[in-house]
Amino acid sequence: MRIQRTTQEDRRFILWSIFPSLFAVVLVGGVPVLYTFILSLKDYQLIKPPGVYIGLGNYIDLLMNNPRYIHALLFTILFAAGAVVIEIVIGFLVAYVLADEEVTSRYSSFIRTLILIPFVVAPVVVSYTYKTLIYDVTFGYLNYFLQLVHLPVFDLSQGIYNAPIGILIMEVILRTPFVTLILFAGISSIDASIFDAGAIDGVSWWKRMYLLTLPNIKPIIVVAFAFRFMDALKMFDEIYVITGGGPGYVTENVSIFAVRYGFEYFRMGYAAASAFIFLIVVLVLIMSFLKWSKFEEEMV
Amino acid sequence: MKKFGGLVLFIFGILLICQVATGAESNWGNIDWMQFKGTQLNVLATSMPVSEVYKSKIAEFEALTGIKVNFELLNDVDRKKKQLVDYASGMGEYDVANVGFSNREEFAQPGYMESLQPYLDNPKLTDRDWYNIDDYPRDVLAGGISGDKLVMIPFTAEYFLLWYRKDIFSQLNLTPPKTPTELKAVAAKLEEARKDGKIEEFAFIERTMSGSSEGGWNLFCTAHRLGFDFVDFKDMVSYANTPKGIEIMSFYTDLCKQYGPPGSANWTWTDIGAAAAQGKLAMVVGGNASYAYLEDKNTSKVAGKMGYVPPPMENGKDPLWIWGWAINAKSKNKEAAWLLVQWLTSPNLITGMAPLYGCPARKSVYSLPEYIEAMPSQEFIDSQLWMMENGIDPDTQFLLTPMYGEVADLVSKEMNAVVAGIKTVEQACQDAEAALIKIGFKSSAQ
Repeated sequence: MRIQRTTQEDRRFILWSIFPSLFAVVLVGGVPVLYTFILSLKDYQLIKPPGVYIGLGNYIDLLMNNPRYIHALLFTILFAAGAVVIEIVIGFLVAYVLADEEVTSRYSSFIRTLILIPFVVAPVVVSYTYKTLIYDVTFGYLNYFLQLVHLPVFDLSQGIYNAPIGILIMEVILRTPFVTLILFAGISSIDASIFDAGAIDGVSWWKRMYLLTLPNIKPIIVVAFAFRFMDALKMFDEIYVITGGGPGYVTENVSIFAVRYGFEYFRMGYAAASAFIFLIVVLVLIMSFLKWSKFEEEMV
Repeated sequence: MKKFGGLVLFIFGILLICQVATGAESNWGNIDWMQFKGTQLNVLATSMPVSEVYKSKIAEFEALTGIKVNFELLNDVDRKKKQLVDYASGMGEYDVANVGFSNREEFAQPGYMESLQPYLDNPKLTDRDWYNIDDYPRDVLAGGISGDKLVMIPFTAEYFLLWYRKDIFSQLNLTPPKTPTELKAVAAKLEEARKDGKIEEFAFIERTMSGSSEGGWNLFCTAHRLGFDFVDFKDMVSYANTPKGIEIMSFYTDLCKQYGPPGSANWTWTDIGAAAAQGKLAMVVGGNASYAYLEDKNTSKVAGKMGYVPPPMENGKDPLWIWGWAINAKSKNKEAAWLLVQWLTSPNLITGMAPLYGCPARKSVYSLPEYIEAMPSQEFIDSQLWMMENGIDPDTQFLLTPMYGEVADLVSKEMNAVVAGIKTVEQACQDAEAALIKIGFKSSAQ
């Protein structure tokens, strides 16, 4: 079949057709990013307007002279990576079981509905529930049951490990359903003949999962990881409600840091710079990950 | 005769209507409330019980003035952010907003708040005799003045009180503490009684969660009551790492760690109020405005059991907290906005509302029978009056500085780390000072 080349007129038509959407994207995405960058080059304090241009002063101070920011940056990345890896592993296992033909569609639907419950509740509501009704030493169920069986209480406000662990557990419970749904769709879309061939060859359950399922849904795992990783990096509600970044600075991530500097310390320029550095770090991380996973190649 | 009687009744009816109308007019002072009829005002307020009462009464203002009011309620954190963005952008979106005491200088120094004195002095806009601004205690009204400008009119007067369980104190034959030493001794006795199984309640709590409006606020106020400030904002000097700073930090964290419920280092003010109302606490240093939570017979297990006295003090006073109404300097309807501010803080409205929220800024209300009837006890009223006249320092420096939020947050994070067992008091004070030096303070040792 002969492919007809697009004419100048066609290209103009295409450009005009996508212009409204492009304009909206630039307006709601590009302009704020540009404004944030301009703001980040100023010592702009909401309570002492107008701002003074200081070049890269905010960036240098954040990276060279503010260990609190470096801690927040590291905590954000490590926490997000840890949470998403756990979510992918658990999400895959659950999805694999749900997609297994041994599990009837009736049970599968029921379980899918069940695991969607935390997914459909607002994170701030879940966070407050965990903080007061589950983790709280005085009012929470978790410590009530721990005390019943004479185990030590789990106190979020003590030490440097409890709070990150508590938030991590909640985050995994809250977000794994999303991963499960994506991976379930991926596993369900694998051509059944591949598994039939495997069955004829007598592959074990483990090999079936490792050699047949995983390679076939690798692009989907990469997409799920990338989506969830970006989402986990900008986590705010959960930490803000449960610990407020504490104890001390232990659970302070970049989002909490930026909001605190912007709206409590009124240093908008500094907060903008912290957000912009973070944006660059996230872009580098995601691009490196996609490159490492040869995502584009897989997609082709 | 019948006809004549009907005429008399008709005339009497007309006179009655006139009387009511005249009475209503004089009841609201001698100004034309309808002079800005048709104007629309946007109001931003913090979501709290007193604001809910205000919101329920706004229709009365609209009927009196013909001004349409959009009354928006937000939680305090969002209220402050939205207000700040509106002020800084110069859009003048909100004509009137409530302002917390600690936000006063943040908003007044950049010129975001309109000076209210010209409106107060304008006879076309204000009937001063009726408005009776002298009804405000001097120190309370001073809370609305920035430099020499009146920038907001207070509608609440708040400060800390020591809430204590009268039944437990009576059972253990204890008296409410007046000094920090007595506080420690009473807390120790309560804790001993708890360990002996005589009571179930934890002895004492103050806020230890980090944040300028959480633990930072309580820590700074407690220090101020003990005659100490962690920083001198005027000369930008930090006293965090001095022997006195360490002593105060020790006193505060020791009390909370030894006598507070486990896990309470993560409690917000709401959590503490809920714990007190559920009967988990024997003593709390808490705001006077929160009595309503404790005395609500439907939700509180301690209604009628709480006592309220001034908080323990030594060489210092409690910082005053007020909520006030302010006009946006960029508002396009300032005179109409003043009518609203005047109405919101008027003797009529405050008198009618005070029994519903308990801590009015106007002094005369405290002796009204309906107010006394609505309050939990005479001890509560007396404690409030004592605090208003003797126990507050309206010039508390730390509150009136735009940097308060950042400083209190930094120091409270270190205090929280001590309570969490991550740092020693000495280390925390050293780190607090280092953080303060980074933002421009000098060490007192220099």
